[in-house]
Amino acid sequence: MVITVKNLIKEFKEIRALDSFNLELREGEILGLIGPNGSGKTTLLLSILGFYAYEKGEIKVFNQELKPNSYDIKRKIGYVPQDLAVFEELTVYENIDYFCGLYVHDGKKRKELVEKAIRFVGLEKFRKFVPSKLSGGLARRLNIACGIAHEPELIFLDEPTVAVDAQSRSFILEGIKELNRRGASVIYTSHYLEEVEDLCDRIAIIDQGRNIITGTNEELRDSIITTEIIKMTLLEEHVDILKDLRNLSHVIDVTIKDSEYTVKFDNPKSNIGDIAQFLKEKGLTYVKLYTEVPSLNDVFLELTGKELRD
Amino acid sequence: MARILIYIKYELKVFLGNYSNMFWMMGFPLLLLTIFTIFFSNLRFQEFELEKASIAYHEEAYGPLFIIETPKELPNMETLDTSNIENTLFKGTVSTKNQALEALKKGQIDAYVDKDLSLVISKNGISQMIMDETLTTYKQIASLNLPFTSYDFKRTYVENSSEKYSPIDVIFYALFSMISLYGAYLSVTIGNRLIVRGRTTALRNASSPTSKAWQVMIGVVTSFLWSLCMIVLMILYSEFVLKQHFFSTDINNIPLILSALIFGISWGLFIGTVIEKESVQTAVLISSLLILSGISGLFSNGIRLLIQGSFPLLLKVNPVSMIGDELIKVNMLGSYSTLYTTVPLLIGYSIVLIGISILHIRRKKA
Repeated sequence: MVITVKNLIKEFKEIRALDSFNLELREGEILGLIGPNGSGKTTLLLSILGFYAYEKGEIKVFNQELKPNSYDIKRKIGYVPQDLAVFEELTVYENIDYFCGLYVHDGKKRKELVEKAIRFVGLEKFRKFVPSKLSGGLARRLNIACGIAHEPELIFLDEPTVAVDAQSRSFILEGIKELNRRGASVIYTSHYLEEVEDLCDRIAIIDQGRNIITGTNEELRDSIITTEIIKMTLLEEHVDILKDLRNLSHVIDVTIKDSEYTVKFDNPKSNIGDIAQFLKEKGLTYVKLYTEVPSLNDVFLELTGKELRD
Repeated sequence: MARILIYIKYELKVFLGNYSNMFWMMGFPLLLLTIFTIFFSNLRFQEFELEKASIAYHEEAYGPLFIIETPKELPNMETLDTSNIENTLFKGTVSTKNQALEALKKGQIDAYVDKDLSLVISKNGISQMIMDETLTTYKQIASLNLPFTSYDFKRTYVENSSEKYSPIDVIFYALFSMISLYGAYLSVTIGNRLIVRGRTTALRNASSPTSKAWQVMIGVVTSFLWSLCMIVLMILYSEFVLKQHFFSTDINNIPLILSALIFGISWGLFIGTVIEKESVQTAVLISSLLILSGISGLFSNGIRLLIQGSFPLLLKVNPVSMIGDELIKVNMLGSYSTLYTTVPLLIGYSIVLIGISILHIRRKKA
């Protein structure tokens, strides 16, 4: 295991930020941590990195406890904080060189790594720019480059795509996949569900300081009752059909929002034929009718009772 | 070594990119030095004649006054009239303490030497400083059981004082003393980059395998080099631009200035580590330097006298006063009687402050 967290309890005065938290990061995997703001994601990362003292539990990184002088372990770690962590007074090159130099002492090797990191995040044209002259997306790329230039084996990425344009986001996500292909194990926190679904090998759902569940996308979907979600929009709204829909076989929930009906089923087979038949029998015309498998948000909703999306 | 130089370069670039730092570190002292020169330089160039200070002393404390111009062979002490002693610098009369303090209040005398050879003064000037120096040297010689004739008080204090120095120089030396502590403006940022409490860059620095001690060392070295450049710049500016001569080529200036620089850096490091909020750090740093300088007489001699009357110990332990007084003694009087207690004391302060700071940086966990 690259990281093992066992029964971790971290409190800030009366608030329990992490509550009997358990987690494992396997070698070579990308583990996504999802949860709403304040759920404990960043607290977990900072606890693993040794910035926070904790009340109870155990954290091991590369099978060892991370102490302030665990320099051999720290050398293998790269950290990309949630907020921009660069010096406004230094250029792109100097910022990467500054942080890379904290890990790599050899000047020649460091120069190569800095150049490589600049190419990796696509900032070749901006090497002499100071961060304030970069767009939000480019600044985020710089933030990542500062954390990965020394080619770490374990990378912590704390919401690296917040407030980033689509192009930069795609660039960053591809970059993370590439880092993983090169052998880095990654912990990735986000509340962009699509990103996590697309990027991560396993996902941990965090809420109120607890790890609700950890598993692959499929494992998470299999862990909930809902198996199929059918959505439809009728030519005319008929609120009175809600009760009839609920009485259909295997329907576990029916809601209506912005004229769109959402019907959830708990049986493994497709139910869209039954719904079409139901509408026909009722003499109702639909303008839209489609089926989808439960999303990560549905998993989150069912497990925690609340929406994850902002 | 190359790595250290690169980090010093980056530290300086980060620091110099902050216009607020630049103002307080460079603009403010240059401005003060220029303003002081504009207002006081005429007084400096006036033909200066040292006035005899009027001093009252306890009947048993005549020694220091007597010894200043004592003949090589001591007279018969039993027949010597010690109730009135007058020499080149002082006009002394025996008095009780209460009478002397009353006379001090009314401005009838300039100073009173008590039985324990402590000095109470009503105004601050060269004569009072010489009297203070004389008392210190007298006590040192007495404690070593050396003959008083072994030290030439007259040459040290009387002849040097005849050089063309003005009492207004005290203000300038207080300013130089304050400037010598300006490394604090740079070193105050060290803690913020290593303790995780606000700055995001601290997260990166603290999670790296580079030890905090190394990072502190880089910050301290950079602060030292920068503040050394600043004090040299100020001296050159006053010497060649303002045409004011303050510093002699006395080699004793070197340990004094170096210890002052180290103390300034330690002070900044201490404030930057024990105070969490950056805005509060800046406010405390600026105000502490101004207050310490004010106490030592930078803005008004009256404040210094008030402190001297109420809390004399404050002047003795105030590093700005200590540095300013030593600068005067070394450069105006050519006296080193307290220099080698002041320098170790400043270094001692610095070691304590750096020690507390490093402990704080090492132990700080949320």
